[in-house]
Amino acid sequence: MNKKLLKDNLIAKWLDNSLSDEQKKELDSSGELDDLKIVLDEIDTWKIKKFDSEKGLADLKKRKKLVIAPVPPSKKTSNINRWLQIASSILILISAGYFSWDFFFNQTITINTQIAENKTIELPSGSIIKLDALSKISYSEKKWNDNRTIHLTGQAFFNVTKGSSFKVITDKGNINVLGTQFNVKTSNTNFEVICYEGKVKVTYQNDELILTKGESTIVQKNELKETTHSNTTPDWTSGYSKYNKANLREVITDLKKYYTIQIQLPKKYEDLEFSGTLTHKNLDTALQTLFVTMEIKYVIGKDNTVIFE
Amino acid sequence: MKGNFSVCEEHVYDQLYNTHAESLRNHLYFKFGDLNQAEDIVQEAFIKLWQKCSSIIYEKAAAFLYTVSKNLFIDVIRSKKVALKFEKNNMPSHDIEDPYFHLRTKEFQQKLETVISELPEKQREAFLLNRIEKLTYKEIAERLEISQTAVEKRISKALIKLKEITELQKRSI
Repeated sequence: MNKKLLKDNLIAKWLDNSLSDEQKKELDSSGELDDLKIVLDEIDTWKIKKFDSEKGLADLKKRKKLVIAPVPPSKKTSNINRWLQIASSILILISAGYFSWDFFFNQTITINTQIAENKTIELPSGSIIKLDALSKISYSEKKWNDNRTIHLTGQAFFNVTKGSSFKVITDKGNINVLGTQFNVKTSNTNFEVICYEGKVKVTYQNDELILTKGESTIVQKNELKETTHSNTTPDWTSGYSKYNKANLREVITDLKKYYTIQIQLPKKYEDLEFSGTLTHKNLDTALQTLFVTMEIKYVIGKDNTVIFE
Repeated sequence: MKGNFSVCEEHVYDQLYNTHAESLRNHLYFKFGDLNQAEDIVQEAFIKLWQKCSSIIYEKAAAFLYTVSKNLFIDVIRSKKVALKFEKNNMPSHDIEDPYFHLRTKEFQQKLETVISELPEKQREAFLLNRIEKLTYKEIAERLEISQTAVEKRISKALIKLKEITELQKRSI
């Protein structure tokens, strides 16, 4: 019976009263849903603790004062002021000549992160980018509404609101999206895209791949290889990195993003594979986890220099 | 309210709060199961709205608030067990004469809360938006940016779970 109720979402339609008379009659006369009806009538009377809007607004009023005062709405400016504004902007435009032309139409915003630094960037329209350590994004603010394009080096997590198309350009490949959550990781040797929600199109050289929730891709032998994952957010946003048979050289490159360390991996170790989880918050723990599992002996010297025996 | 109102104007901002704060809190509660945290995040989202009030148009404010709060919750560790609690106004019945008394005991109501809390996040969210917030399937679909069929599917699954629990309860009497 339950299977029948799930088919074509019959039971949801029953609840919504959108069944045909015939279907409704059949269900009602079976008595199958009588008990459920009682339970639902009960649930319908349940309430959540009352929300105190006044208290909330009072709290906001206090906190709003600590926030940099927003630009006052333009409709409050008087006509005279407006004419003055227009006149002065014309003056500025003329006096600045064609230098400003270039400046105004190509103004780009660039955001960098240092070692061990993360940044969360909110774009106009409410999309969010979380930028991992030692990474960079840039975009043109002026053209943002016509052309939602982000240039990325390093690693970032994107949560994009619905709207016109959104494009991420990296040295390695490009990603096209329509409202979604995904992570992009690039380095000299690596290009990886993980999709957490929605749909993204990844382009790498002549290769193209569409990813949906739970799918990811990594470049192997110059091709996009499709893989899967079961996470809801990238690990690095929670302060650690997870590796599955990752090249040790890659792991060390990563470590340098989160810690100021001097480390020169001997050639013989470069192609070893590491599987495990490394924290971004504690250097000793991270190094221990990494090298003890790999059975590599090391000591930490002055200025966080890692010396191999 | 017309589109040319600026979110920076206090009465517009306050009106947005009065319209959206409670339903936003409830939605976050259904989804993540922590009432205090949900309320903190509502405040946080409104502060962000204030910071950006000059660049956000009135019609987009609600969408902005929902996206920002969802993102804020991503930062909070989500390992905590969801344990929803509701206020119930009727006294549970213990009258054996009532043919459905086994469904109205206090113990069974608590069990219902637990079962609802343990539903998968998406089913719980859709089901409670429908039953507690009284949104239609169409409204839920718009809010969650999914199809109406997807909403029906999530609610169907939640209903089947409740039905199973109800049947078990009957047998245990």
